Amino acid sequence: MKRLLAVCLLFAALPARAQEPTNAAALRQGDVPDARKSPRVVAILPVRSHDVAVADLFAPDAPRQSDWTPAIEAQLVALLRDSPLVQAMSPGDVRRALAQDLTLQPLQQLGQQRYRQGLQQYLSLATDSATQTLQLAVEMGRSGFQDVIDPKLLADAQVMLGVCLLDRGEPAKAHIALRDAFAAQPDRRFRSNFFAPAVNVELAKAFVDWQETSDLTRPYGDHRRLHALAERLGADGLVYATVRSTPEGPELWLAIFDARRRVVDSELRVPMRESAAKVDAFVSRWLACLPVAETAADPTTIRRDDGVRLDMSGGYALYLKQPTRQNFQSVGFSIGIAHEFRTGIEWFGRVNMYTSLSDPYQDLLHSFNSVRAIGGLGFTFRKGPLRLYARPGLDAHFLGDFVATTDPDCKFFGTDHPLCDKASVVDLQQRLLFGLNLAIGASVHIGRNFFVQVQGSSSLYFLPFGSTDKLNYPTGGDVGLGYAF
Amino acid sequence: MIHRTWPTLTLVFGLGLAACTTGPDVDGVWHAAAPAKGANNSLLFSATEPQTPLGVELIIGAYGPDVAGLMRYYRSGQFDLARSPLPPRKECECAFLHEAKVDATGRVTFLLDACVPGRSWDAPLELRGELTLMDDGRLVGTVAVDDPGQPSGTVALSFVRVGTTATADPVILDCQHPATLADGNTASGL
Repeated sequence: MKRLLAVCLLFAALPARAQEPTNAAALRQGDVPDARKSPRVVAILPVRSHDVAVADLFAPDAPRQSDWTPAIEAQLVALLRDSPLVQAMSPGDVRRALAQDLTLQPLQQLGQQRYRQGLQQYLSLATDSATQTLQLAVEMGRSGFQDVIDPKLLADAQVMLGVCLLDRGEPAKAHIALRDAFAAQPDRRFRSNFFAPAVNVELAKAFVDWQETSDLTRPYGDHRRLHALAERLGADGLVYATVRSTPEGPELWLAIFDARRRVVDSELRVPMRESAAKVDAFVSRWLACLPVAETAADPTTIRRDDGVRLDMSGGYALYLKQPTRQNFQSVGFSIGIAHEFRTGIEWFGRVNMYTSLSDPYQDLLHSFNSVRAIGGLGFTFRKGPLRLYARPGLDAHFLGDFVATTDPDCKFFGTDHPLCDKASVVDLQQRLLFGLNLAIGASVHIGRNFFVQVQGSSSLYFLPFGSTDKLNYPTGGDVGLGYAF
Repeated sequence: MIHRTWPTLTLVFGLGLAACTTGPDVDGVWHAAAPAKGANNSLLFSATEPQTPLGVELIIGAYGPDVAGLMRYYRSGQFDLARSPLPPRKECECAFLHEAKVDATGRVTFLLDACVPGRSWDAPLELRGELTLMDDGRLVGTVAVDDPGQPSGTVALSFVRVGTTATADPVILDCQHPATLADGNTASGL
């Protein structure tokens, strides 16, 4: 009685709730279009400058050409910081973030320690040991992104490694080490009397080689390294630039690396004198073409795995045991419902409706329609948008008329015709079969609360005893679309 | 690209069709005008009007290798539902096919056990039919006496498909009791 009263009160309250006036002044989350968007983090890496001429390589006090680096960095920072839904990291922020990264610090410190140790070994004429130690220092420096934080420290180690290799009589390897030093610190210059003349010659050769052949569009390495760097910084994109001297004047290369897609999204090559306007347009264009930022967690829109999942599917089934000489196929559709009441465990229910297609010999005299109800407990495994499940359950199969024969006269003239051999007619009197069903499937979350589902299943009927020998083992698949409430 | 794609698509489509096809399609309603011969050694001619071509209708239902059906005779090669001043001869206007089969090459074999037009007596006669589905869609072959105790006879027949059993009037399957016209003659006029 109390329950009845509660139900009546609920129904009485429903219209009142429906007519409840909405508060026009109240601002809901849906009224703010960007409320659920999260900003994209874009890191600006230190701009590389290639403005050192070969003639100035051993003239550290020679006046440098105009240093464009600070201006470009400032322009990029200003552009990105003024953009909505972009969280810009300046080159200084990048250096600080990497220097304070607790997982990188040991590498950076060990790299510096190895460098000092290698230097001591070299000065002690232990060239072999120094070479090995300096190689370690270089590897650790690169792994610790020392070329981003303070490129001079890494370049020092690489130059000393090159010097050691020269002393060991390995000029080819020394050339590579010296070339890598310029890649880490392109504007490096040396005092002419610091190294032996032979080393200076090799430095000049390496510098020229690097200037001629280096890939200016990849100042910080390949895509894999850029992706690792972006992951360290928690950045969605990396902006990096290189300024180099050309006969026509300084030129700017600017590139934007998309960390999610692991590709260089945009590139710009422009003379420095036109860079101010073109960089602005380039960055604006890139920002305009950015896909909508990922929505932040919102209980009204995120996928709810603990909700009820409803799906509708098209299905196909085949009876592995049937009285016709050739297989007959069945097609239909199904409706399923499932609820994951505990992580990894769900209850489910499913109704399938099938109608048969004619078998090749038309032994099945007319279409065979049936309805299956399946229910049970399922086990689920989820990884990202993919959800796998296995569903053992009970199967109740309601059969329509099933009449089959192998006598062509029965098919042609009808089962009542005198020519028809009645003994050849199989009429499945059993109208209900019970058994076990096992379904294995997967669903992929495709957006909002929708998902696509694919499953295969098979049943084994054993009840009523002795009545499952003519039609059994329906096996098939379903493909459909679902919604998680 | 298209030149490469079309043959592949055709092959896939063809294989799909081949997978669905169970053999030569002999199902349908077939008409043949048997040669009108009044010679004693002939079969299937009108005894009352020996020079008039006799209409022979073959109705075949094919189910894989199995075949069912009947053969009906018309008074003329025009397959007219004619009225005749003569009383109907129900016994000889129609015969069921027995032990009928079709093989993968389109060869249809069957037995008939009934009287046939042109004979002077109505006793059942055993006939054996062997017809083959030709490339041009005709069903060509012979029907011959297969009864050692009876005079031999053979008739060559060439059938043309005029319809399908699915769309045919169900009354044509009624061999025993064909539709009767107002004056008492049968539909086939025999």
